Amino acid sequence: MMISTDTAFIHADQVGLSFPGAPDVLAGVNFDIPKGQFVSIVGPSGCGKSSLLRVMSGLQTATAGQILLDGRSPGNARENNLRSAFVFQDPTLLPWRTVRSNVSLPFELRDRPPAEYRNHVRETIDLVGLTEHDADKRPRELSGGMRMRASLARALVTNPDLMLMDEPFAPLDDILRQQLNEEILRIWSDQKWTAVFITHNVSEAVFLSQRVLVMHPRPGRIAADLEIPFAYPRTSDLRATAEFAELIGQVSHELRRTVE
Amino acid sequence: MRTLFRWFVTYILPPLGAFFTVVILWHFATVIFDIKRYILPGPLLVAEAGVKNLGELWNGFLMTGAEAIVGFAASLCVGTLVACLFSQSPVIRRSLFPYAIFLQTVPIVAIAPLIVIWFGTGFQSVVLVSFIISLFPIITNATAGLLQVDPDLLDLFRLNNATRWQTLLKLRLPSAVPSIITGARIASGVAVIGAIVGEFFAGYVSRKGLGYLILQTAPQLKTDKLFATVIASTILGLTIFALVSLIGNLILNRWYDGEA
Repeated sequence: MMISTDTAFIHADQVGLSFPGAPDVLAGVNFDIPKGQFVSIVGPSGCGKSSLLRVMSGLQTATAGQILLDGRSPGNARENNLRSAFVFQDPTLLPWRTVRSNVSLPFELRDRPPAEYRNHVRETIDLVGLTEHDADKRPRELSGGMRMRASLARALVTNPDLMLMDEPFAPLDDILRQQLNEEILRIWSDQKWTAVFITHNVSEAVFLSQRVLVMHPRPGRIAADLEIPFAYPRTSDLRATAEFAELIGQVSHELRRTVE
Repeated sequence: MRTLFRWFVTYILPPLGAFFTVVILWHFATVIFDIKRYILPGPLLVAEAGVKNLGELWNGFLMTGAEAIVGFAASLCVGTLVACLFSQSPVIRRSLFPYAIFLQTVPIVAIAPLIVIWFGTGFQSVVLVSFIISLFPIITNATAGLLQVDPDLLDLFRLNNATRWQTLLKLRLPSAVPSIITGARIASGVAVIGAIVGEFFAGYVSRKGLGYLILQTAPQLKTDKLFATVIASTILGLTIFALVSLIGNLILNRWYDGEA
């Protein structure tokens, strides 16, 4: 165990999560994720994949085993400048603030002077494909896709080492989801953060990731660990290849086994 | 122009029609049944009394209005501060909330004499009565608003290591604004009632307020003037309610998704 923590950026060792009087949410979850890897976690609903992400973020503490981020517990890592960013399923923006002011929030909460982050906020809003004009709008004036872009910007603006994403594109239509998948890969290729991406969409998981973990429900545990060998940059052409379809088939097969 | 006309027909015409129907019925009732003018004066007599005493009623309107607005403003500030305190811990809430309910259940006429004993007669005591009875709706609505915060947003603040103070100022308080506005609307009407009741007990220093006029006019059987004063009180209540609603709607439309 001591050796693997040196090489793994995220190390999960027999992680369990349970609440009194309820069946275990997670039990015996083991995996290692090296720095800079893009990993997706798929599983049937209620399999504990979101809970696992919450444990990784430090919002929830494992009741058995442990998760180490860069060798430290998530809470400890967060307090010691390991920058992890969380992207929620909903855009989770403050409705009374403009996009710009929402994206600035992480700096504001760290009491940084505005002059220090103003340019970086502008660049990050641009990076996720929003215009200067959009930046001064409030969330309700934006479409669902634009709100999610703003939410991504707020996560990316901290220059994270780790991006934890909880089904961020689930409410979007398929075309928009594919577009955002391509864009998130473009940004990841540049910035090389470690990504843990929760989704129930197999095609999305295969398209994005170097590796897909399939979770088994009740209690949540890792049922399969599949490598996705396609080279980056990946473009939408990849979706039309036979190899892509075959991998989707493989992941779907593993996924089906978890509910049978 | 067309929309203005439609607005008039939809929202203004029906209540106006109801008003004139009642006034006409009232007029003929007093004529046909030959009701004595000190029991029920007809609408023309009331209008005449209104015009004759216009100066006195206007001064009363301003006096009672000032008392109600100061009482309302005080309950808005104090109520929001108390709610902020309540939002910080369930223990504080459980310890103090029963005493907040006391504000709602105590008959104001029962404690008004006490207020006169402690604070004397005059402006400050009338304001205090108005403040006491308009405080409760602010406390309950603001507390509810401060506690009903989107859990994802609370997680976002935790993930950014926000302090309790930052969470209150940048998340809870702005989230509670629509609820505070709802509380303020209720409180604004109650504050006027409080000012008039307060004047019954403590209004004979200025000898100006509408409550004082009611108290003074009734025993003289100047029923027409009494009616005119009651109508002036109602108009005062509506004016303050409308002002608070207008400001509330401006805030909601500018920063929130419209309606509270």
